[in-house]
Amino acid sequence: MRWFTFITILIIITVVNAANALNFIAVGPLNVRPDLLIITLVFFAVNSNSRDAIIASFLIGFAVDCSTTAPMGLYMICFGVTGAIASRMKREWFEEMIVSRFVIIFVISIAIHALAALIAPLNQDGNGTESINFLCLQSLYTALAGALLWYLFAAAAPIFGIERSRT
Amino acid sequence: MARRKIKVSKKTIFASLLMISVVLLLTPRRHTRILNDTFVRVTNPIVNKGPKTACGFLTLDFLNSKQFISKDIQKLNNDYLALKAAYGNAVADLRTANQQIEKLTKVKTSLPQPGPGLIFAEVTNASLTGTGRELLINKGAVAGVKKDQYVLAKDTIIGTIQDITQQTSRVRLVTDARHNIEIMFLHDEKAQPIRGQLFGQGTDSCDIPLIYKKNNLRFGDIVYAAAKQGFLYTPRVIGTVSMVHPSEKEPLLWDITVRPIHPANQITEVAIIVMDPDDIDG
Repeated sequence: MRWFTFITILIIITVVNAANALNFIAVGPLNVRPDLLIITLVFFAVNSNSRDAIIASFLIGFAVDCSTTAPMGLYMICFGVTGAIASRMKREWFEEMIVSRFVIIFVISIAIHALAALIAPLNQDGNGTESINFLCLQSLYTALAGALLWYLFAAAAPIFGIERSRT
Repeated sequence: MARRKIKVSKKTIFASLLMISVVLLLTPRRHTRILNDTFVRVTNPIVNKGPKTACGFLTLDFLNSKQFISKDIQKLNNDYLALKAAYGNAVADLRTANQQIEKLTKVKTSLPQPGPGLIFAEVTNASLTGTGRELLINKGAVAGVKKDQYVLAKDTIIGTIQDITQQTSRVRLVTDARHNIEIMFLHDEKAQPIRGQLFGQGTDSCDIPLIYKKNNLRFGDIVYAAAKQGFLYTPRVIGTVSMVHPSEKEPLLWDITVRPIHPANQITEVAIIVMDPDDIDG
C-alpha cells in the first residue's frame, strides 16, 4: 500500500463527505446522503492485504471521528473492527455481482452504526446517534452508491499500490 | 549493513490500534476537541459551499454549542463574550467621542447634551414560546418608561419596550420574530459603518438580510444597535455574527445569522435607556 497516496485521497474523500456540496444528491425529507467513507472502508478492507486493511480501517475511522459530531475514537473502533472482519471476505463476492456488493456494503454499514450505538455511551460527552430510520436509509443509499462507485475505486486501485480488481 | 526489518504481527497492530481508539473514546471531549477544531477551521471554506441542511457533520456553530463544550470552557466562553461586548461598547464610545471632538474643533457647540439615564428593573416573567421572545419587567410608566426605549442587559442591547402599564412593561427581545432594529458593523474607524436591519428569527438568533458580499464580514464580528435620535446616543453591542455565508437566493448578498451575547433565559435584571434623565421618576 502507498500510504502517502492513501492518506491524501482519504483527506479529500473526508472533506467531500462532510461538504454541503454532497447535499445536491441528498434525498428525502431526512436529507439522506451516502457515506463515502464506508464505501472506502469496504473497498480497502477487501482489496488490501489484511495487515494494510486493518491500518487503513482505523485511519478511515479516525477521519470519520474528526469530521463528525461523534466522540473521538468511536468510529475508529467501529471501522477498525468492521474493517478487520471485512478483510477476511472473499474478493470474488464483490467482483462477480453488483447485487452481492450492494448487500455486503449495506450489512457492513448497518453493523458499523449498530456497533457505534452500542459503545457510544462509553464516552460521557456523547451526543447520541441518528434515528434508526435515518441510518437504515443512509445505509441503503451508501450501498447503492458503493455498488456503482466500486468501478471507480477499482480503476484507481493501482495508484494505491494494490492489485487492480477484475471489475 | 543490512537494515533490520521489524516484523509486527497483524494481531499486535490490531490490538494496538484498538487500544489507542479506546483511550481516545474514554478521553473527555475537552482534550480531543482540538482535532475537530482543526478539521473544521481548515476545511470550513470548502465544506460550507453548497446547500445547507441538517446533518451529523461538524460546523463552527456546533463547535461553539453547549452540547460540545465542557462547563469550564462554557464559563470562559461567557466571560470572553462579556469582555467582547464591553470592548465593543468602548469602541463605539470612542468613535462617538472622536466624532464629537471633530465637531467641536470646527464649531463651538452651545450647551452640552445631557447624558442618557438608566432605569433599572427586574425581570418578573419571560415569554419564550413559539416565535415570541418577550420579558415582563417590574417598571412601567410611573418610573418613566416609554414605548420603543432600548433595553440593556449586562451592557448589551436585548430589545425594546413594547407595551407599558403603570407598574410593568413588556420588553420585546431582538430575537422575537416580530422585532426589527437598525444595526451597524463598525469595522474600520475611518470607513463608513455597514448598516442594516436585524430581524428576529423567533429562536435564539436573528437574521440580517440585504448586506452586500463586497462588505467583508466574518464569524465573530460584533453587531451594534445603531444610534437613534431620542432613543440611543451611541451604538451599543447586540451580539456577534454566528454564521455568514452567501445567500442561496441572491448570490450577491450575505446570509447573516446573529446570536445575542446573553441568552434570554439568563437575564434577570435589565436597564432601560432614557435619553432625557428628567423623565426618570425618583
